[in-house]
Amino acid sequence: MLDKGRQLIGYLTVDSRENYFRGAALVTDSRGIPTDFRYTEPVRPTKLERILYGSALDIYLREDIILDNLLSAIDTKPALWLLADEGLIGPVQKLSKLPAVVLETSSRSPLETSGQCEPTAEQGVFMLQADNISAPLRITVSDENISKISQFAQLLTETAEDMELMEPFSRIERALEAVAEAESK
Amino acid sequence: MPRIIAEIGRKLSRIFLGRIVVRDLGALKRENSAAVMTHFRQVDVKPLRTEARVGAALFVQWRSARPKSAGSILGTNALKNFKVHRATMRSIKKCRVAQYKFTLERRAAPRRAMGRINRVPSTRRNRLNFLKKQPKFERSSLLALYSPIFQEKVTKSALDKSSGNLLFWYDSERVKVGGKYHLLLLRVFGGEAPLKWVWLPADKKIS
Repeated sequence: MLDKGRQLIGYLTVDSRENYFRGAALVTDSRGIPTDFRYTEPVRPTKLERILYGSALDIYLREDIILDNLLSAIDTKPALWLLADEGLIGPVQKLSKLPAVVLETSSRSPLETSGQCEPTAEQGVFMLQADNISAPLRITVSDENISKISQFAQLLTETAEDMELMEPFSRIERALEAVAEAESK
Repeated sequence: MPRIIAEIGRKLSRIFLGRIVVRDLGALKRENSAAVMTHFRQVDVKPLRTEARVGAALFVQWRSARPKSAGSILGTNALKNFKVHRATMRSIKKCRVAQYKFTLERRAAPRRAMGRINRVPSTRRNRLNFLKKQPKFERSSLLALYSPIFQEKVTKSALDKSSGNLLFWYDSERVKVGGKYHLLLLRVFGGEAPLKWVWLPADKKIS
């Protein structure tokens, strides 16, 4: 269940690009101020590891290694995890025992009122007008959490009054770039 | 014709001279013997491909010997460098088994970096395009709208001219939060400063 009292929001990303895997988790308060930030070093599997793990390498690294380590290291537990990758919803919910949704921007015209949440033709995908001066956000939830969409929408709308919901994703990216830059020197 | 003349001569010499022609029986047998030929056929096998002919075998450089044809190397000192060793199976008895150490988990150990994330500025996009009705200002026009921002917690801000985004840093240790605001950027007509920043309480509806 959502813990509305704390109003902490978690942002979690796992990148797999340029032959490496990297994860980061940022927990903020409702104003976007960080309360916890964890990241993993870029994990570059060797050629031998790629052969030994085969097609299971991607899932093993993302779920068993990066997600498990990040989620167990986080001290402050958020009310809701916001993700950028739909494939992470299941593993994050299973490992953290907290609800998780995918949050994406959309180019659709704004809905009538702030807080309005409408289902789309896709199963488990909703459009949410989180505030009255932005485009609606695209929310994807797992099948078992479809019934909780109104709770998620309420929490996100309340949070959007004090911060830009998508902004921490870009902050994580810039922080990781800064880390990589500092470590390359 | 010559055969008939020879036969007449032989008969006349027998009549008048009483000579008898003595013939070699072997020769007679050979004359009358039938020629026996085998009915087996011999198969002549010829390769379809053209015959490979090796003119000269060129060797790579062997120690100090320059590349030469095989013919020129044979019989020279270069052949002394070749030695034949007896092959032994003793070396196979010892086979070292290496253990591969899986270190993926150790390499993905998470780090805490609150200082790092606090140094990264927050951003606000210009939301002017989403205003349904733009507010009117005297002798100025609205260029940008950034919202929501807790004014009292902002320690530093900057405008990224390339993206049009506002960058700002919150003081995470400041206890007093204060109210949240819209930050407006106005173009002033006829004023000393062409641009003006205006803080507007967020509870004041602007759209």
